[in-house]
Amino acid sequence: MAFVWKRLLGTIPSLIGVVVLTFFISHALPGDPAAYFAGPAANAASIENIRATLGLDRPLPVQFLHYVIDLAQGNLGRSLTTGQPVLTDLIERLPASLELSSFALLFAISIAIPMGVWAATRINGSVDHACRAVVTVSAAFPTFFVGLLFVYVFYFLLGWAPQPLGRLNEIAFSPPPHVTGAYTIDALIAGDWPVLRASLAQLILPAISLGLFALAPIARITRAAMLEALGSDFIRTARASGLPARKILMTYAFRNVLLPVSSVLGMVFSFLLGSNVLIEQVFGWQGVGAYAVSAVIASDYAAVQGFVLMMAMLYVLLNLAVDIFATLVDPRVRFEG
Amino acid sequence: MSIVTLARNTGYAFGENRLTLMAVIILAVLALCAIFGPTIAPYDPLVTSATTKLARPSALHPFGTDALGRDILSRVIVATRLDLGMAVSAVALSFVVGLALGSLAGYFGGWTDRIIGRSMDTIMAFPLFVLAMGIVVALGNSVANIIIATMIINLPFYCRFARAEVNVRRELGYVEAARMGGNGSLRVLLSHIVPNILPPMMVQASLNMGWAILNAAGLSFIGLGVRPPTPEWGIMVSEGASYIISGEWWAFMFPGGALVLAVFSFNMLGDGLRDLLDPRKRV
Amino acid sequence: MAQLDIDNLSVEFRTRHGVVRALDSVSLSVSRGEIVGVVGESGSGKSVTAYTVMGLNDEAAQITKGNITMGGIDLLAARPEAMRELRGREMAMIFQSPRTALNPIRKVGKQIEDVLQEHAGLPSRDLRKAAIAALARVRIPDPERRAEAYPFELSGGMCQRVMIAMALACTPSVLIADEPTTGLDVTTQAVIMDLIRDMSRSTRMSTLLITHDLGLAGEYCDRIAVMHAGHIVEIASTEALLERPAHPYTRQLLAATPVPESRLDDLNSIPGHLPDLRGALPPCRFSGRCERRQPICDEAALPWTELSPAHVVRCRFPLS
Repeated sequence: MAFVWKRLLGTIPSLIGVVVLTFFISHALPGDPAAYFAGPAANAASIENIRATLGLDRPLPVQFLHYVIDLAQGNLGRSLTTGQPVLTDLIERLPASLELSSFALLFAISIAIPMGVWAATRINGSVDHACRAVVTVSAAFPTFFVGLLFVYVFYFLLGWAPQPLGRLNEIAFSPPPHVTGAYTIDALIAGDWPVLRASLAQLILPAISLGLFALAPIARITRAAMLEALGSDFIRTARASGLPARKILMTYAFRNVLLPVSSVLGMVFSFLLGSNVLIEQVFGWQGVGAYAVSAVIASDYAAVQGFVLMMAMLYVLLNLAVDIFATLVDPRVRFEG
Repeated sequence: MSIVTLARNTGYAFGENRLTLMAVIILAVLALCAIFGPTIAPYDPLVTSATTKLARPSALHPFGTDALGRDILSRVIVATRLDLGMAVSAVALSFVVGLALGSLAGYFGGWTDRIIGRSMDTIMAFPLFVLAMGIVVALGNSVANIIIATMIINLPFYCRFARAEVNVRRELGYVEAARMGGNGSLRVLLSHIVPNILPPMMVQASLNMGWAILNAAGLSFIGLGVRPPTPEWGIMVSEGASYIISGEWWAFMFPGGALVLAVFSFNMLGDGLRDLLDPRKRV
Repeated sequence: MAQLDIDNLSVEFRTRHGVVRALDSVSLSVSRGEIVGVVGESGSGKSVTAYTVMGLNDEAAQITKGNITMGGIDLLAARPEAMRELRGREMAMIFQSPRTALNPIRKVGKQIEDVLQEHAGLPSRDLRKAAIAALARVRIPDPERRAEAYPFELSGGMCQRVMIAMALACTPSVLIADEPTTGLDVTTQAVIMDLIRDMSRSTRMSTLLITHDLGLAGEYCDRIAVMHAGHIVEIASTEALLERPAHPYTRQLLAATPVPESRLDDLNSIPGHLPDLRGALPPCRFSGRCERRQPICDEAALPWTELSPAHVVRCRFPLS
């Protein structure tokens, strides 16, 4: 387990970097935070007043110290629009976003990996062509546009999907008792099948539109890494030893693909957390992304900064998880340290 | 690369790969729209009309009209300049700044390298789109700041690329020879190393263009930077989105389609250029 | 009858740039306990011969004529599944660069267990013990601990021993060693070759040693076949071949092989290149590089000249 500790320690510079950069963005850039915090209706005197209360008139190092102390106490400031502490707002909405992103990732991985493996074993077959088509298309389509296209096709034209207005039709259903905050899981825990069905129906389009874009990089790297593994010397050895085809494919080739795949997951997460914002906006999903967008529109400065910081922390943690996964998959990584 | 192989690769890029040729044609059309947009647009993109609200595509309005009765075709055409302009300037800025920082880091190593490398790592520690949101909000909600934010989130890729290329070339014989010949560090860097890493960086840049367009459009989709009534593809998609559930598809479809077309063409051009410069990477 | 018998084998590769006639009428046999060397430059067809025997050629390869039998089994007629069962159990192969030839993320003991599980019919609780025994048989010190190692934790020589342990785990009757010492340092080379020889002798295994190094083959083989451009040009007992080479190519190879008492100046390189194996080829594929070439060499069919029952050469004008 020593290597887990090592990885944990390794995230400290990233966390420090994240805190410093968020501070820099919010305090040292030429924009005037006091004016933002004061809101659009403020006059010069009230702005000065706020500057003093926020401590923005003090030297930067002092401000940084206060910033860090506030962060350590979980104080991200108060939201202008909701009047609540930003941290409370974010924690309240985080489960919705995590639910959406997890389903998207699950969808992406469960399609992309079999697709990449299949494409690599039958180069120029139909799956290979489909794989390349998805990669090309997803590189050219904006997520929000695809989300809207899906709404048009599956809600308006075909009528398969419910109206894209959030996580649950709250006129017909009431949310399940709060356990995890993810409606699908809570409904499952409560054994409330109609709500589970209804929340899944709301979830499926946003999750697929988000997942489609995570799918492409995973499928591409799986295909490439699988091709490389299949052409490698150790696969030749395995064939010369008369191992069965299934074992060669799964135990020998596929496990060697997991390391390259885990290395693109970092990029995939970066993308998912960013695009989440757009997809939540399109589908009226009440997560942190939609919260951030309304904060942007309302110039709710503290809320946006809190959101950026929280996403960065989450991203650092996800990368840590990926690192640990890579270490478990590949002994060489473990020994390099 | 000899003239013959260059010619053969050009033949490959344009002959065997029709997509590249198509991409070049589309980009030429988009460039014309960007330059002459306001002149070739059939209507004034800002003029509203109470009588033609949300009119279906017709001979009069090939792309239909939006909720304020403005001609969507004209708005899509006029928006080209802003959308491509934002992406091109952001990419150009990251190219120049990334090249400069990366070359310094790669050539001098040591503390220069550590500080620059650590800064780039810090940028990469954020989900990039989220960071761009934060930057635009902090700097102020304007088009210029969208460009700066897009530049910053692209910077690490150029910087790392340049650093790696410089690092490799620093030890090569011809660079060593130039240094022995009494040339100063900066001179060696500028006249012997940088020119050689420009072509691969250009390929990076053209592959990066599509992504920059998507980022800028995404930012304006959520209401950052571009203000209504300015025509811009992202904000037009966002404005059209409200009418999807009542079936008025044209208001979001055409600006969205323009986005896809532009991004797709840049991606294809990038692929074509990569094939041209480095046929080994062709798959 | 020989354990492994290759008879009149011809193999072609259909490529985008034409048909490559990689092997032409290759005949070679290996008896039990015998080590036969196949020597030639890269591209001469040594490896294609080995891969064809193992049934590991890629899809572009076409066997146009000939026969391969092993212990009386017709390998070319065997179904793919039957071939797979023979590989690893009846015939095994070891490769060059052993460190990349082993799965980098699987413990070496496990990799041997995989082979045993497939072919030895052992209950799974005995697999580990059998794998450790296989490692012990190739004189790996502390086999219990080494079984737990990953290939990157072992030296090249140690990896090659693991490869040999894996190949011999099910005591096959035929072993093909394809450049087994390439990439190893000189002392390790000798250790590995000694090991291969001892294993062949003690289990009466037929061994085909594929190498470009005539010196190495001379030291360890009973008989040597020299290949050039898809032809076997000379086969003889090692002694005869080294003492009285009859083919001009064999003599050039010998002149290009360093021996302890030679100086660098004595070494000769072989002039010319292997011919392009696509399109029309002369009857003697060596004629383009041969200083003794006569007009007839490019016209009449190439005869086999028998200098003694065990020494045959494929040349119209063999050296005496």
